[in-house]
Amino acid sequence: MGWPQFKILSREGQERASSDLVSHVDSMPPQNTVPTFVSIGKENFVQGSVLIPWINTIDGHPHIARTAATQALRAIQGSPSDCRENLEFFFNLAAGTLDRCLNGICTFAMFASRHSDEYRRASDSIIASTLLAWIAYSADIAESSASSYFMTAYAQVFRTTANANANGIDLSSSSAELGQRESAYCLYSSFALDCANAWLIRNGMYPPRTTTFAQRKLYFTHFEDLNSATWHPATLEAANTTLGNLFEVCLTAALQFAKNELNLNFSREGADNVLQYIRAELGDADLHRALKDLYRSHQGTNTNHTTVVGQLTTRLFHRLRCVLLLHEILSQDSIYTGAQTPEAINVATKIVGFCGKQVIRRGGPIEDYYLQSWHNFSYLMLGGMGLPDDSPPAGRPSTDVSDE
Amino acid sequence: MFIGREECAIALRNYWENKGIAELVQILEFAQYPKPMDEEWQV
Repeated sequence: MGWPQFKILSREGQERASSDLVSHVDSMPPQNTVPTFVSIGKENFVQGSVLIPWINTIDGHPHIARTAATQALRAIQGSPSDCRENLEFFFNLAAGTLDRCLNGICTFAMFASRHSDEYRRASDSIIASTLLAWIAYSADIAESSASSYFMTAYAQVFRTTANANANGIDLSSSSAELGQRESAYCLYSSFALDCANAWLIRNGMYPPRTTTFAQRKLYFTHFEDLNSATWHPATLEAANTTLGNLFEVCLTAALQFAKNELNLNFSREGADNVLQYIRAELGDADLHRALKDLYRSHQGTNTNHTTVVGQLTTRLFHRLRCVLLLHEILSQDSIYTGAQTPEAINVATKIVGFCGKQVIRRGGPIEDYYLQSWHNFSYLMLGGMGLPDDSPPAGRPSTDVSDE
Repeated sequence: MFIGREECAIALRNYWENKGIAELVQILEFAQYPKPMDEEWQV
């Protein structure tokens, strides 16, 4: 795996998702179930449509673009001497082909979306766009174009889905009512939307919630089925990426409002949207079930930091506590007062306590430097912020989590 | 942008002592862009 050399520091699941697609992108086996699209309303469709005029080229072959993008990703993982030359060749081939084919896809989607081949073409181009975006971002090649490729994938998903709806095809139907290619399209488009949203979040924006936890679990299950050696359980992968995005949204919003308050600007404009996003994610019943299952399996007396899954699960619950703390802070009239509420102090105390009890040590199965130190440091900063003045010292490292 | 461990600790101490919004902003910034801990500090 060549990913550790990249600049991407989190979103492990999505990094591996892109990597895993290298091996399996040609197969695209049929799915047994179909995810349900949420929030494909007028507002979101407009967001996609705005980007469509940018896609203005002649017809092309999405399959070639997808294959070339896959080869570009393979080049990154190859030997350093061959890497750069092959990477640039395949990247440019994929980019040029994608550029030529997008107009054809949109035209086809508009007039002939009843044909299942459209979904195969759309899937190909969405995968190609997403792969190119990750490559551009992470491999120092045309980095400035990463945003365009993420947005291209975004626009294609909304366009194709909206046109399907306009033609009487409900992509949220049961799998029995959809063809294999429609089902595969739903799967890969969910993944592409989440990648694009992760990009937006990382760049300080708050995208609309466009996929559910069940959809994320579905595509991670698909990846796990394709290569179980590469992937952790789908439930853990989906929970990890969900809480990762939530953490970034909460932290970015809290910092933004705190800076406003520092400048005596106490406006809460935008807070409702952020809170709505956070609560929609935290209120997802499937996420609740997943967290309960993970807690029973890998926390409390079952805590085991000798495995990657065990370490990841512990980090997941550290992250969850931080999200709950930031949600509490954001729910108040100001960040300043929110950080001092009894509930915030209570959660902050828990964060510091659990970071002390459940230290993820170096030298364990997770060797990613950032995976441990970056996040642990953030959690301790946030927990420390809310500690009361008479806070007792954090507990010694142990696996005793019975007081949660 | 990376921020050193010492600066983070100072920001936390200042916030505990003063409870000011400026220190709160610093903490949130540091939580967003912390400097990964050095090897010697790893537990």
